[in-house]
Amino acid sequence: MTPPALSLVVLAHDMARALPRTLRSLAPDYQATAPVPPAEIGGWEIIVVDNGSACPVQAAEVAPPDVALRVIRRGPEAAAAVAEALNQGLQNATGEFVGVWIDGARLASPGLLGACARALRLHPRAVVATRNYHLGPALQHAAAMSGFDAAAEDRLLNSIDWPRGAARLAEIATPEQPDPTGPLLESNALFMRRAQWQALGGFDPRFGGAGGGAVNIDMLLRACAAPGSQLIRILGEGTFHQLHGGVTTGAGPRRAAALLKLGSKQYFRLRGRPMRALRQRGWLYDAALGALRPDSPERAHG
Amino acid sequence: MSDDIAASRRIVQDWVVRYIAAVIDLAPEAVPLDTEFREIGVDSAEVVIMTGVMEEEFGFEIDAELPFRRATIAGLLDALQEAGLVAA
Repeated sequence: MTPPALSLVVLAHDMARALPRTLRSLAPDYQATAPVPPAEIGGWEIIVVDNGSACPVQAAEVAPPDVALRVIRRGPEAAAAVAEALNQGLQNATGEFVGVWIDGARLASPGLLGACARALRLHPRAVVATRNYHLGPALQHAAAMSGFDAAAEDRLLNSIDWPRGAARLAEIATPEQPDPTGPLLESNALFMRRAQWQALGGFDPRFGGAGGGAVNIDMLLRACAAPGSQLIRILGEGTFHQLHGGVTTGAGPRRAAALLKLGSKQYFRLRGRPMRALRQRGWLYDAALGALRPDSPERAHG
Repeated sequence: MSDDIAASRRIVQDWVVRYIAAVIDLAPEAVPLDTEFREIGVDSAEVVIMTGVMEEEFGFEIDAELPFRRATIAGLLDALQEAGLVAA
């Protein structure tokens, strides 16, 4: 059997409400936005790593149409081991390219996979970072403090007739970073060739704590620091966080800041240097153009 | 750095200035003390990250939200001094 071009590893823990939408957003009929048709992506598979959910994810209940989906179940005792869970997903990936969702509660915009698939093919060591958004009028750890709840989130999605109106997701969401070309600390959906993930050794299990601490930040920073790598930022597409009581976005601003500080300390101890956001713009892939933006800096590779 | 002896304000200030200068790729002497972090070009996440490194370097604990309330280098140092974490 021919392996798919792309494997998507989606981590989930107690996301019974949010995960089905995320998986729905990864179906071929949803990821059908021009200018990149699903056929160009080359087929994909979804690997859900259920990291100790109280109610285990049932593939038959959450599988979107027309895409292969597997569920790897890990017991409740493994729930804190985020890096190990992600690495287990990576080990099961068969595609030439792999996209990793550290947070299965983030649904995709409808051109995301096409943009990432095309961007990945622009450079042999592409590190493709996507933009993080939160559904709602503010970042969810702040919005939740002023009454934004699951019902309000449902109303927002209904207001754009999601999933049919998925192209309007950005209208009902707030980006984590106002400037998509500014300092970049994390990408929920991060794409590289499978060989790159392997060469980097996957996620570092020494990062621990709530939600894996700084493990995803560390992954992005290491990937971009690897010799010959090329950061490509996807503009115009992204992943959109849904409320699910997660460790950071469900925590309130004070707790979210405290968790980031904790991640910073852990990173400093493990790496011996400060955890610094990427300031390089990298190449800028404009999803609407279906190509790199003409003003992409450092565009040296042929 | 020992937990028992408060670092001097000058030492901590120099450290913060050098840290921020490195983040935004600016000469330390060009980093203003009374301008808000975001106006200097350092976003809130980067400031929170800096406080984590400060804790590791100086051995004191900083409220993660403090840089939001005291959003300049001088203001942050004032707050640390008021809390007895740095000496005049």
